[in-house]
Amino acid sequence: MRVRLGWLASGLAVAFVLSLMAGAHWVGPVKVWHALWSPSATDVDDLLIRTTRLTRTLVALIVGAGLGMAGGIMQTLTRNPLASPGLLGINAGALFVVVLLVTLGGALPVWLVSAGAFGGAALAAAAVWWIAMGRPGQAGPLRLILAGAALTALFHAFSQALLVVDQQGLDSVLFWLAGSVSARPLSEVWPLMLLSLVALLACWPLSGQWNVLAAGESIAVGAGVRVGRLQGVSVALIVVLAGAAVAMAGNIAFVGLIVPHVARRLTGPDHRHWLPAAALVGATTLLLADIAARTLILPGEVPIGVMTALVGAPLFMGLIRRQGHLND
Amino acid sequence: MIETGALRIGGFSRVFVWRPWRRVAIASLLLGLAIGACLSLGKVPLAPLELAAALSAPGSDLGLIVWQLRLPRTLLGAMAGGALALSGWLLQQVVRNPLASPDTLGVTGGASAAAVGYLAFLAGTFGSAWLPLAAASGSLTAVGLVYALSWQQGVTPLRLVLMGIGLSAMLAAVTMFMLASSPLSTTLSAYVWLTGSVYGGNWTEVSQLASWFVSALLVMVPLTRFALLAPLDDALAVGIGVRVQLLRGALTLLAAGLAGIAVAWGGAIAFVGLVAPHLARRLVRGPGAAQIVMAGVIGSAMVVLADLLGRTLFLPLDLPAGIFVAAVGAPFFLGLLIRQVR
Repeated sequence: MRVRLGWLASGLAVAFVLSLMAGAHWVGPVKVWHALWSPSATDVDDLLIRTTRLTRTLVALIVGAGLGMAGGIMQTLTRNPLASPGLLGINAGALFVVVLLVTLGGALPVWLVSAGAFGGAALAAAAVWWIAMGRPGQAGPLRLILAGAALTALFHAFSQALLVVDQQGLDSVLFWLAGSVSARPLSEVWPLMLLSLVALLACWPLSGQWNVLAAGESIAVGAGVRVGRLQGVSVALIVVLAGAAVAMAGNIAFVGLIVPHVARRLTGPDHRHWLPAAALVGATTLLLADIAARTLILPGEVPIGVMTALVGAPLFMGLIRRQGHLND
Repeated sequence: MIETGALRIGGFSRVFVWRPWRRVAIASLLLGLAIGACLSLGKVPLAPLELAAALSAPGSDLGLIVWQLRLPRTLLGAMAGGALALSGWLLQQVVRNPLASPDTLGVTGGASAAAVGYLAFLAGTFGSAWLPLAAASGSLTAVGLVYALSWQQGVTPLRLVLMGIGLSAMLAAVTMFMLASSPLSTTLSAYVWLTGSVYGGNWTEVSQLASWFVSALLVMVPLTRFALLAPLDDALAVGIGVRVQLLRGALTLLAAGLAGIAVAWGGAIAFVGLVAPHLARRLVRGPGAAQIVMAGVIGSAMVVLADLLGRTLFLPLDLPAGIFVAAVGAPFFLGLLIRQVR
C-alpha cells in the first residue's frame, strides 16, 4: 500500500510541475526549476510562474485534495457510495450564501465572503446530516440523493432569483458559479489554504476510528468508539474542507464523488490508505483538469468546474450502470 | 347528502365519489379568483366592474391592457403551472417518492441547456420565436437520453433518478459554460429565462402552448388509471397483470412532455412540480382523478399568483414568477423533508 501511495504522490508531483509548465505560453521544466528557486525579477517567465501559475496550481492542489477527502468521509459517514459535497447540496449551499452576500452587500471584504461560504456549507451539511440520520437505517440511497438534489435545486433557485433581481452582482459571481482556480491572488486565499491543510492533517489520526465506524454503528460503540463525537468531528471536517474549497474555487462538481471511488479501487477499503489516496488522486485530478481547462480552447479558458463536470458526469453515470444492486 | 353518483353511457360506466370533488371545486373557484385578481391588478388597477367593462370592450384602452397584456400572460402561467404539476404528480407515482420532480429527470436541465444555447448562438439570426421549440426539444432529448442510459433489462426508479441527476449536472455545466463565455446581456436574458418568467406572453404563445397542453391531456386521461398502479411493487404489479416497463416508459415520456412544454413557454419555474402534487395529496386523500385535477389546479394557481406578485410587488420592476414560486415552495419543501424524516 505504501508503494501505491508513493506512486500516487509522484504522479501528483509530475502533475504539479506540468501545471507550472502548461498554458498559452509553455515553459520548460528547467526554467520552472529556476523560477521556483532562483527567480530573477526581470524575467517574464519567472514572473508568470511565480505570480499566476503557482497560485492556481496551489489552489487546484488544495481544493482537489480537500474535495476528495470530504467526499470520502461523507461516503463513510452516510454509508452511501453516492454521497459527495456536490450531490448533497453542500456546494450549492455555500454558493447561495456567497451570492446572497455579494448581491446584498456589494464589495465586501474577502474574509466575509469566505466566512459566508463556510456558513452556507455548514447549513447545507446540517440539513443533509439531519435527513441522513433521521432514523437509523431509514435513509436509503434514493431518499438521501433525492433530498440532496432537491436541496441543490432549492439553493440554486434562490441564487438565480437573487442574481435576476440584482443584475450588477451577476458578473462578479459568475466565477463562483462556474468554478475557477485562477480568479483570486495568493494573498487572499492563503488563510483558506492553511485551514484546508490543517483539516486534511486532522483526518489522519481519525482514519482508524472511521474503519471501525464503517463496520456499523453498534459495532463501533462496542469497540469503544465514541460514535456521536466522531460523527460530529467528521461533519465539522467535511464542512471545513468543502466550505474552503468553495470559498477558494467556487463550484467544482463531481471531484468529491468520483475521486474516492477511484482511490478505493487503488488501495482497498482501509481508511488509513484510502483517504490519503483520495486526497492525492483528488489533487492530481484537479491539476490535470486545470491544465486541460486552460490549454483546450486557447486563447480562451474553460471554467474548471465545467471541465470536471463534463468528465465526471459520464463517469458517474458509468458508475451507476455498473452498480447491479440499484434495482430497488 | 348523496355520496356517490354514476355515469352510464351505453357500455361505459363510471362511479364517482363526490366528496373529494367538493374540495376540487373550491380550489377551482379560488383559482378563478386568482385569475381575476391577475387581470385587474397591475400598474393600472381595475375595480371588478371596470374589469367587466374592459373585458366586454376589447378595443378600448383598458380592454387593450386586459386582453393583450394581462390575459395572455395569465393564461400562459396557468397552463405552465398546471402542466408542471401534472408532470410532477406522474413522476412521483413512477419514482414512488414524493421528492421526485421534473427537475430530477433532466427535463429542466435539457431545456435550460437548449434555451441558453439558442439565446447565445442562434437568437441573433432567428429571433426569439423559436426559443420554446428549442427548449422543448432539449428537454425531450435529455429525458430520452436519461431513459436510454438507465435501461438495463428494464428501468428502475432509482437508476432513473440517478441518471437524471448525473445528466442534469452535465447539462448544467454546459449551460454554465455558455453563460460564462457569452456577453453579459445574453447572460442576463438567459438568467431571466432560467428563473422562469411568463413576461411578455402573447396570444400566439398561448395558442401554441394550449394546443400542446390539450394534446398531452388527451394522452393522459386514458393513462390515468394505470398511473395509479405505478407505485406498486414490481412483483405485485406484474402479478395483477401490469406491463411494468411499458407503463413506466409511457408515464415517464408523458411527464417529460408535460414538463417540457411548460418549461418551453414558461421558463424553468422550479418547485411547482414538487410542491403542487404534494398539496393535492394532502387535500384529496387517496389517488384518483380528483387528486390529479387538484394538483393541476394548485399548480396553475401557484404560478398565476407568483406572477401577480412578481408584477405588482416591486412595481417598476417586473420580477420573474419563478422567484416567488421558490420563495413559497422552499418552506413547504423543508416541511416535507421534516415529515419524511420523522
